[in-house]
Amino acid sequence: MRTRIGTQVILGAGLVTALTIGALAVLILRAHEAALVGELKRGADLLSETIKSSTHYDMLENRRDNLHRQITNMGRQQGIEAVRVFNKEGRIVFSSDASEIGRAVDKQAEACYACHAAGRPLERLPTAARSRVFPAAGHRVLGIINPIQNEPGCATAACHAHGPRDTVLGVLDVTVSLAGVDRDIAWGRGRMVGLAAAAITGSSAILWWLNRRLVVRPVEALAEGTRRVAAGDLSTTIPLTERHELGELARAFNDMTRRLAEAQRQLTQADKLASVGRLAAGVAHEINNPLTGVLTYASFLLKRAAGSPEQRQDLEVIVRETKRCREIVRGLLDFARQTPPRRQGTDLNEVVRRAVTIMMNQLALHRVALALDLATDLPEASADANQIQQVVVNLLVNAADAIGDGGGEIRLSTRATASEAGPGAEIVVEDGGSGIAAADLPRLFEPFFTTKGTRGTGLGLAVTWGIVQSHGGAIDVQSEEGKGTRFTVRLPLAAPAGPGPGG
Amino acid sequence: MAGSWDVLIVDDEAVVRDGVSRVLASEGLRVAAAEDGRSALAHEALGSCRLVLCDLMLPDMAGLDVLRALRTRRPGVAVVVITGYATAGHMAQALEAGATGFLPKPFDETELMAAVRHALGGVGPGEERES
Repeated sequence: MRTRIGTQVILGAGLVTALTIGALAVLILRAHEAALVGELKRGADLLSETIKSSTHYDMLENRRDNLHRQITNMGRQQGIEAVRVFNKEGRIVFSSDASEIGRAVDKQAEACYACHAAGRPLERLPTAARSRVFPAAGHRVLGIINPIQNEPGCATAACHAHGPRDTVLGVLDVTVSLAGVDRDIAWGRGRMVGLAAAAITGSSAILWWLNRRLVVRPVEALAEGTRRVAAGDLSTTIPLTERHELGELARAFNDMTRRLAEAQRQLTQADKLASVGRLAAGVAHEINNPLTGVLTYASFLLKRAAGSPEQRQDLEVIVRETKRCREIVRGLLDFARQTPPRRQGTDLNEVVRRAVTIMMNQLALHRVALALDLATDLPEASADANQIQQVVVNLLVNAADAIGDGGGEIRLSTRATASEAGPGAEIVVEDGGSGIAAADLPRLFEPFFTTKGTRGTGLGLAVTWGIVQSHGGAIDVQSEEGKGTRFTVRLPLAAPAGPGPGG
Repeated sequence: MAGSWDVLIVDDEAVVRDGVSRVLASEGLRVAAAEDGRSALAHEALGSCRLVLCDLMLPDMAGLDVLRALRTRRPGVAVVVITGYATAGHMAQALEAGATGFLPKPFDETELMAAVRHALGGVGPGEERES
C-alpha cells in the first residue's frame, strides 16, 4: 500500500487548516452570538421595564381591560413573541396571546426555574439570570422575566387584591424572537465554512504544485536514475536543477555513480591486466624456444652467407623481424612481471630529470623540443623512483610518437596538488601532437590497445597505468584530436615525519 | 679427439640444441647436447667440457637441481643459464645454485658467441684444453 507524500502532506495541512479555521469560527461566532443576544436582552429588558412602568397605574387601579389592551398591543410589535403576566401561583393572568390566559405554569418550568430552583423564591435577580433562551416553533426565543414587586399602594388599594406582606406579586414575562440572530449566525457559519473550504482548496492546490515541483519531479528523476544505474548504466547523471536538499541528493547521486563507474573501470582494467599477464607469461615461455631456433639459424646463415646480396637482404629481414618478435615478447614479460613498487620519499623532479636524460637523444632525433617546468616547492612523493621513471619515459615516448616526424614541443611539468583524495604531487606531460580520438580514450589504458599500428605493442600505457595504480595514484588523460594530449600522473605524498628506511 | 668436449648444451627443444650446436661448431667448439637433466648428468661430455649451457625449465627435473648437481660433479665448470622466462628472483636463485651467467632466449648468433666467449674466460676455441 503506497500513499504519496504529497497526498499525506496535503491531507495533514488540510486538516490543520480546517481545525484552525473551525476553532476560530467557533470562537468568533460565539462572541458574535453573545453580543447579538446581549443586545437583544438589553432591548427586551428595557421593553419589559417600559411595559412595567407604563402599566403601573393600570395595575394599581386594577384597570384590567386597559392592561389587557396594552399587553396585546405590545405583543403585536415585530420581533416580540409574547408578553405575559403571571400571578404568584404561576397562573397566566394577562397575555398577548389571549388563548393562554388562565393556564397555570409549573414553577419548575423554564421561566420560573431561576428564582424557584432553591425552593424558596428569590426576590431579586440580575438581568442575566432573569433571561433564558429556549427553542420554540422552529426558532429560538429569548425570554426575560421581570418580577412585579409589592408596593404600599398595592396593599392599600381599593381592590385589596394583595396582602401587605407579599414581596413579589407576579412576574412580567417578555419573550422575543431570536430568528434574526439565528439567521445572522447561520449566515456567519456558512461564510466561515465557505472560507475554510476556499482556504483548504487553495492551500492544497499550492501544496500540490509545490510538491510536484519540489519533490515529485526530482524524486522521479532520482528514481529513474537509480533504475538506470541498477540496470548497469553507470554513465547516468541526473540534471542538477534543484538547489534544495533533493538537489544535494542528486549531486551526491551523480558523485556516487561517477565513483562507481571509475571503480568499475579500474576493477575491469586490473582484471584484464592480471589475465593478460598470465597469458603473456605463458605465451612468452612457449614462443621463446622457436624464436631462439629461428634467430640462431637466421643469424648464423647471415654471418656465413655466401650467396647473393639479395639473399643476404632476405636473411636480414628474417633476423630483424624475429628480433621485433623478441621485443614484443619482452614487452609482454615486462608487463606480466610488474612488481609491487618499493615506495619511499622521492623527489619527482629528480625522477623527471633522469627520464629526460634517457630520452634526450630520441627526442632530438624526432626534432622535439622539451619545455621543462619543475615546481621548486614540490613535496616528496611516496614512489618507486625506477617505476615512475619508466612511467615518464613511456609518456615521453608516446608524446614524441604523437608529434610525429614534423617536430614540435613537449611540455613536461611537476606541481603540488590537493585533490579530494588528499594532497599529492603531479607530473604533467603535454604534447601538441595528433591527439587521441574521443572514441579511443576509454580504451587507452587497455593492454594491446594501440593507435600506433605495428609500431606499438599496446602495452606501454597499460604498464604505466598498472604502475600508477599500484602506487595508489591516478592517471588522467585529456585530449583533443589535432590539438594534442595531456597526461596527468598524480601520486600520493610521502609521510612527512620519520626517517625513511635506509638503503 | 674422441671423448673430449668444450660445451654441453642442455635443452628440451631440439631446435635450440641444434641451432646452438651449429653455431658453436662453426666456431670450432666441440659441442655435446642433452635433452633433459638426467641425460645431461649422465652425459660423457660432462667429464671434459668447460661450459654447460643449461635451460632452467627441463621436463624431468627442475633446472636449479640440475645446476646444483652439475656444481657438485664439476665445481670448476662454467654454467650459463639460457631461459625464456626468468624473473629477478629466478636469476638470484640460479646464481646461488652455481650459475656463472645468463643468456635470455631468444638470442642471435652474435649474442650467443659473446656469452660463450665470456664464460670461457675470453679464451679462443681449441687453444687451451684439458689434457
